[in-house]
Amino acid sequence: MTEILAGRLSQPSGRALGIRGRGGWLRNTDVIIALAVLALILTAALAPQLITTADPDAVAPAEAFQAPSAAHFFGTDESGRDVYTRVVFGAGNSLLIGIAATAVGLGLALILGLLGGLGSRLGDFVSTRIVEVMFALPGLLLALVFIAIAGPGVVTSTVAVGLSTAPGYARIIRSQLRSVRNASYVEAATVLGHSRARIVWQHILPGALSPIFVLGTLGVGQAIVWASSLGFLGLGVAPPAAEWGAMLSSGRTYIDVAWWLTVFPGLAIVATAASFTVLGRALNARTRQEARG
Amino acid sequence: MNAPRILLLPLSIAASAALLAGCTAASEPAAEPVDGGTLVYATGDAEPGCLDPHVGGNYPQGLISTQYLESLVSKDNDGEIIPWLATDWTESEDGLTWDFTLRDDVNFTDGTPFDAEAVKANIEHLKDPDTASSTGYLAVGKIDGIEAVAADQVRFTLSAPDSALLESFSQPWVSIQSPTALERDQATNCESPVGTGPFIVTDWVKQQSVTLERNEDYNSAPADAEHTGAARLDAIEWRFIPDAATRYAALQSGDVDVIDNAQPNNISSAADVATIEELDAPRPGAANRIELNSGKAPFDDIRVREAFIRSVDVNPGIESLFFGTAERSYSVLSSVEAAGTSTPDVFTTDPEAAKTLLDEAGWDTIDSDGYRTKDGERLSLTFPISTNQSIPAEQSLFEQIQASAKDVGFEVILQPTDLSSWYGALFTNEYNLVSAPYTKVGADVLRILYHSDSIIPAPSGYYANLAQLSDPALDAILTTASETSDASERQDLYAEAQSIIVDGFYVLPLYDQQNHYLYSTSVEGFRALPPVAAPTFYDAWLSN
Repeated sequence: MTEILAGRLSQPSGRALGIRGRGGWLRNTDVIIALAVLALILTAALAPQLITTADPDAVAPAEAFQAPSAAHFFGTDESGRDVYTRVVFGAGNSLLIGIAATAVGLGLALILGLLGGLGSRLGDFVSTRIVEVMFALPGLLLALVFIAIAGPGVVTSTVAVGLSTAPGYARIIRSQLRSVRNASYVEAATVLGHSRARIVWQHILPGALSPIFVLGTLGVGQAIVWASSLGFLGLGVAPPAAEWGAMLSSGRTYIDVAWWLTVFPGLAIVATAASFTVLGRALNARTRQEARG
Repeated sequence: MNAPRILLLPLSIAASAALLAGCTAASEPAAEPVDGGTLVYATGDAEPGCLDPHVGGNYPQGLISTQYLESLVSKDNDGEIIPWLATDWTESEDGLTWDFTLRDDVNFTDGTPFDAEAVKANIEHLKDPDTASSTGYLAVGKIDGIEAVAADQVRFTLSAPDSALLESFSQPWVSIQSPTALERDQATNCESPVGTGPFIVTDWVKQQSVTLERNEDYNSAPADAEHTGAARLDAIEWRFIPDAATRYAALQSGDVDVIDNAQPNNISSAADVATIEELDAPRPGAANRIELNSGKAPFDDIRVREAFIRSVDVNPGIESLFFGTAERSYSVLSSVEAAGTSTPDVFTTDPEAAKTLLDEAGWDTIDSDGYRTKDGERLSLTFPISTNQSIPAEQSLFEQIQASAKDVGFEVILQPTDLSSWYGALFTNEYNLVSAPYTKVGADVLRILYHSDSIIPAPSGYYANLAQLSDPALDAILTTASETSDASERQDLYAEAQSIIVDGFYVLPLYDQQNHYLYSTSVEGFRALPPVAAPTFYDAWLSN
């Protein structure tokens, strides 16, 4: 996925997303919807009590497997817990994992990318080889290997997802730095006799790292999906904590009797990932539009 | 034109009759078993690490090894011990010497003859610490000496009388393998154990399937089998499909013929499917139960144990999660064990009484998260769950237990984990609660599970007394029971033992070890072999 993104980002034109032609990006309905969804999800994550008053862990075996109704918007699960409440409370865990994993991935990528893009020839050699080794393993497999070593849990699965996204980012950062390093304005600064630190700080980094923010936005959606797949494999949060991937996983057992156990957490994952992606692409297009003047 | 029609009438009647006869023949081909075909079996149990059930000795190994290994004796549907590889046996007056007469016309599939030396080599293999056996090792624990008196005569001398010896011998974990094969290194024997059974292990693709092919020279069916000679199926493909929904979908689509560990909701919906049938065969031995580890705090205090049991009500959960396929058990023993006593009165739910008990035990302060504390320590219980052994419904039940225990002030930490990490938690005593299925033939399972000797790990590292119950009075009763051949006396002793176990609040019984098979109606002659209710496909054939 990140490789594909990398391909997109390195295209000279921002036209691919079709946003420029329709004027300002905030006027785009997709973006407005995405922002609204994200606002709702962020509210759920930060203050779930504003959206629901129920307890996500309150079991009521006698009320198990109730279909969606006025009392339970999204129905009840196998232990009679309110699925709506659990989806709302699950936002925090899922989002936290998504954002933290992206931060971990970008952080690691930044180190590797800087080493490769600005470091010595040896530094470039070492970081490029590390990235290549990491690339050799499919992302999720890398995450699973890490979990196998470190043991399951929220922190490990977050780090694992971060780790597996890092090589993609690292490559993008390196190539950005390399291209900016050879830009004429950097050359001019060098001729003017500015110190190397100043050149890096004032000229290279701002130019090269602006796509990182965009990348991050795109990455969060991806990370949530990945973290959900780990939760789906039973490697995420510990029960009874609500998390979308874990809900999807446990609900799947009952898919023949209670579709609502999988559909609603699934929709939440899709809505979040899609919103982040729409927003990320819009930001990307806008950045490029500005860059082109 | 009436006449011709009338003339035609007898003809058309004859035609219809022929047609009807044709239909009957087509829809009910059950009469004559057909040879040939490959049956696909999908198991939801853990994939064994070793196909030799002597090594370790768990239920998944018993399931598959029943197809290629055989035991000295078996059990019929009435619970009577019947001949298998042994044709006859006598116990000495003092109960310390047993003489077994063996079949003299049976060969292992590698050509080695089955004889007294083979039996001797197998018991020695079980006792060898290098084998790392647990179930089989415990089952033959009282055998001190084995003597091959003649090719078809073997004599066991025991350290103490063993009223459960025949039952122990009927189990797949004490099955008899080729001594020639046992001499190979363990890794090789694990890949391709050699027995006398109706099928032969020919291939094992890890994480995928084991191929079992018909033993053409088979002649040692147990006394209750439907036919003699070789099996009817050409082969069995034994697939590992750990995911329950996938397994059921595979059965529905006709991709597989038989599945085990069927999910309650699937069993319930399969009842309406004409092409799928169910076989419910509860496993013998212990009921599924939660053990309370009395070997360490806080459950070393009986009041805390009682408080835990009083704080949870599992009945509504069992009802809704199991869709009516499982019945609540109030006994330590499986419902198929005649010696089991059911004591619903001991397991009543009373959260208020639980709170009082915890106050008395000193857990009388409550922290900001609502959990009880004592001397600054939280009343916290670690509960490792094997996701291979506990089906999703059971895991959900544990979550419900976690929620209701929280209301009283217990923090239950559920740790869903794979089988090896789960064993790891048990070996290192890092658990307060655990649900560990244990299958053994007969009430002597109580001795395995609750005698203080069982706190000492078997060579595999496993110890069966997970409640870490250590009570000299109970030990004495269980030892006496295992040495008493008088049936009614044994029954009384086992009743007494069970009351010590349940009154001490060491266990919370849940339900029988669920053992539901779902199979396609095209599979005929499939049954569960009575000793441990493992499937047997010796008589089975495919009608399509």
